[in-house]
Amino acid sequence: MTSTGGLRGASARFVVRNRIAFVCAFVLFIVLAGTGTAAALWNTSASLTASAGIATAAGNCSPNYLKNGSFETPVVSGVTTKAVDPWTTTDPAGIEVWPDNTGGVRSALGSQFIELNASRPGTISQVISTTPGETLQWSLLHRGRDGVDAMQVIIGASVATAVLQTTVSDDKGAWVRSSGAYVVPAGQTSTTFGLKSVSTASTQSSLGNLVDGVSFGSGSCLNSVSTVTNTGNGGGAVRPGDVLEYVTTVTNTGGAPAIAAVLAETLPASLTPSTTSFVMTGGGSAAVTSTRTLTARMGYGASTTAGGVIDPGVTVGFRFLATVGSTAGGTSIDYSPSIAYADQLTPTWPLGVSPAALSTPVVFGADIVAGASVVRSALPGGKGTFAFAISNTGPLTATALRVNVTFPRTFSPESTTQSGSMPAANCTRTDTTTTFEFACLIGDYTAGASGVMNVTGTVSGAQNSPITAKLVATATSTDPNSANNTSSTTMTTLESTPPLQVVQTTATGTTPTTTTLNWKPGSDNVGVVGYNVYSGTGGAVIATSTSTSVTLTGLAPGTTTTYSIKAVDASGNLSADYSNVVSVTTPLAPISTTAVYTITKKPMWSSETLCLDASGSGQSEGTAVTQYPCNGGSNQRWQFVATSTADYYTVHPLYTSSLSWAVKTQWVGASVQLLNTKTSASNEQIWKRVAAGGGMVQFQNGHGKCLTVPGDASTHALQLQQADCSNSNDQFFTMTVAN
Amino acid sequence: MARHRAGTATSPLHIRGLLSAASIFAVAIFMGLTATGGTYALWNTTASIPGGTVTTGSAELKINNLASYTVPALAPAKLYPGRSIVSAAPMNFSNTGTTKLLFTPTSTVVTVDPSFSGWVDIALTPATATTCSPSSSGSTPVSASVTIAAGAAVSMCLEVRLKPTAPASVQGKTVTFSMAVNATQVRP
Repeated sequence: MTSTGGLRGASARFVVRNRIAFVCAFVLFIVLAGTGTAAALWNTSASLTASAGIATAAGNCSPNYLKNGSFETPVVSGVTTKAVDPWTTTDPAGIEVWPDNTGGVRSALGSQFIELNASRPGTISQVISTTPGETLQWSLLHRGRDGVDAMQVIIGASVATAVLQTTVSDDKGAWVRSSGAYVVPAGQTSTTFGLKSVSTASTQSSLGNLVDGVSFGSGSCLNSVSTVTNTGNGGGAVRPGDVLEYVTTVTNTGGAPAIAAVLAETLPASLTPSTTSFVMTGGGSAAVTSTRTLTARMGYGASTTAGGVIDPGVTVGFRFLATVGSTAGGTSIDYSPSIAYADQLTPTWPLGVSPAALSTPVVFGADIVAGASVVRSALPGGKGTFAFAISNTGPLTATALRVNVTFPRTFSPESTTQSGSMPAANCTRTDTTTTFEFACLIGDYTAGASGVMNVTGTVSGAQNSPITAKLVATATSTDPNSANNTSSTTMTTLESTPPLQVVQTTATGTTPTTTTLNWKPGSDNVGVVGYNVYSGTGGAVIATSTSTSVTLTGLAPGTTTTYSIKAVDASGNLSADYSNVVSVTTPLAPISTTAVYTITKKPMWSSETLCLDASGSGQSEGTAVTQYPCNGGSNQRWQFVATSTADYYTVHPLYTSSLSWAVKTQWVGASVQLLNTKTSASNEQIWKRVAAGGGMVQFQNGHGKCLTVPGDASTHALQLQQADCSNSNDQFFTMTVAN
Repeated sequence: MARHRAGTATSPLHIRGLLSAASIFAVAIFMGLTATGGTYALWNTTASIPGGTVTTGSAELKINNLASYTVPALAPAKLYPGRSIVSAAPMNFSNTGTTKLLFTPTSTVVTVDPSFSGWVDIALTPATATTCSPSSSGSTPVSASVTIAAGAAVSMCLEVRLKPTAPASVQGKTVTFSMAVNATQVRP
């Protein structure tokens, strides 16, 4: 038993030890395993890939959208409950349509809206075609009738299965916009949009939930058109000064509201807008900056700083007037605004639309040009006349041309006459304490017309007192240059005292064709205003001057002329006496050895002018120098060659330089003929030119004898001779350059 | 005798008991030490030990039965600023291993035009129905960590949201991305 008991005892100890060891091992396992870090835990992974497309704001225009969202049809004259296509309603009575301003409630959009609670709380809905996956937008304007009304926006495959999008709850007093987006589920090709009445502030369930401007579609889509109309010129051609009316309309033909709609345009310098003419249709405001940037914030809810909403089917507009600048004639005025906006779903992605650009050509108006002058001055008590010239340089007719002339009281206008293309004027005179106003209606004045209106009146002022008349011409047509519509002139009242005689007239700087006359300043009781220059005394006035000198030009060389001066005063009085006479002899022009001359002779008793002629163009010595009718031949044209003796030349015909004028003896009566030109010419062959007065010359050879036509005869082919020099016509010739 | 009897303390029976206890300790130490290893812990073998058998486990996560899954198509809708699109149907995330897993989307990489990465939020969230729905407007979708029991599965939805501040330059583009989903064994 003991042994057995000992064995049992040993076995028992063994079991106990194993249990203790197992427990310790388990504890150790747990401790060791449990003390590991997180990394010690088992890991695995999977992955996925996918793609997502981002919408395009500009691609959201679609013809499929909710129709008649502003309940504009059928048109009702009072609150009417009836069918409103294409809406459907659960109310058997129909949809209750309110015209604008019913019960003091203005339509949010258009001219009508509805009360959702018609004969009872109901649901109105409309079905549109949709594409699965597309994102649609909805928007509406809602307000309570008597307090806070609430309704649900439901969208789905049908009214029965439509999903609540939101519950809109708004108080009375103002329209409140609600909007949202809806993604068309897979397989849903038609979608129902519905509004379901929830509650009303009224005790009657048939009252409440006013609704307007409902939209449901895929995106906004703006179209814009601009027009320009000339409010002036009968709507015809645009002229400077005309007022243009610009109208830009913007229509949302899409299915969702366009937001932040702002029109912008930088106006050209030739167009000045009238800020008081700005008219916004559909809400908004407009302004223009000093840099001519025109900004119109358009649409429902637009403010002075932000563009508004243009709901689907709604057209908004901006109209303004602008004046065409005076310098715009001949140019075109461009107007090409742009309208920036955004879609509700992509408010930060800008969209834009621009109407077709307008280019307005501007014609010139009627440019009236006025000019005033004095026709006749007068002594005090006499009759003076002013001339007022009016012309229209076009290009258009000046309409209702009116001329106003203002005279001082020292000139009393009495009569008018018209000349040129100016029609008879209808004038009236108005007397004031300081002026006489002469107002004349001339009427239409065609382009190119030019005429003068003379006004004659009595001068009543003292001698020498100035009378200034001022002319102003106006017309109802546009004038591109109004600065030349005014002109003034001054008439000085005449006096009769002449200036004193001018003295100390001299001539200086005389050339063959010019001379300068100088004199002492004249003296007058009022003042000298100018001088008349006379040839000799008693002749015609050959020149005038406002100073004390004058240069005469175009004088004949080798001539002597006398000149005298008279002073002129403002009344036109002349000095009673001529000044001292000054004689001016112009020198001959120097002989040019490169020129060819014809030498003519006019016998005293003949009207025929003959030319010196190398007879028969002879080539040999002894060829006679004769006078012969002029024929331009080379034997009638002569060249002068300088010699070693000052002022003396040899003279040979153009056709040969080897022969030249000569005489064979020094005796009077020796014939002039052509002899061989000697290198060192003798007195018989050298000639000098001497001024003979009146532009004529004599030819004197080295012996002091002069070329002479014997007897001053007019005989053709008569050979010339030498004779003692005398101041007689038979020795006077005229030289004329002939090359 | 008393000493001899004392010697009987090392009898064969006694020795076997000691050896048995020592072997249990050795297995325990070995198990404890090797359990602190890394991912090579995906053992698929067994080992027999005297006195008992310890079988290793496995950890495996699949999306619609694939370790790498390509979402065939998100909803055909397009992304708008501040709006989401979701996978057409929930995806099945299954734990085909032998241990409970906690999985979390850990990284998302936009693979086509990475410049878009700043403009989209991508998240995996548990499906609440048989279809997927975007998270509420105005919020940013956030991925959720989900625990799956061994052999179990959960339905998850993929949501992609374009940030409200996305510039107009991204419109009309396509965002392609990959998402890694890491799962970790949940301690027993």
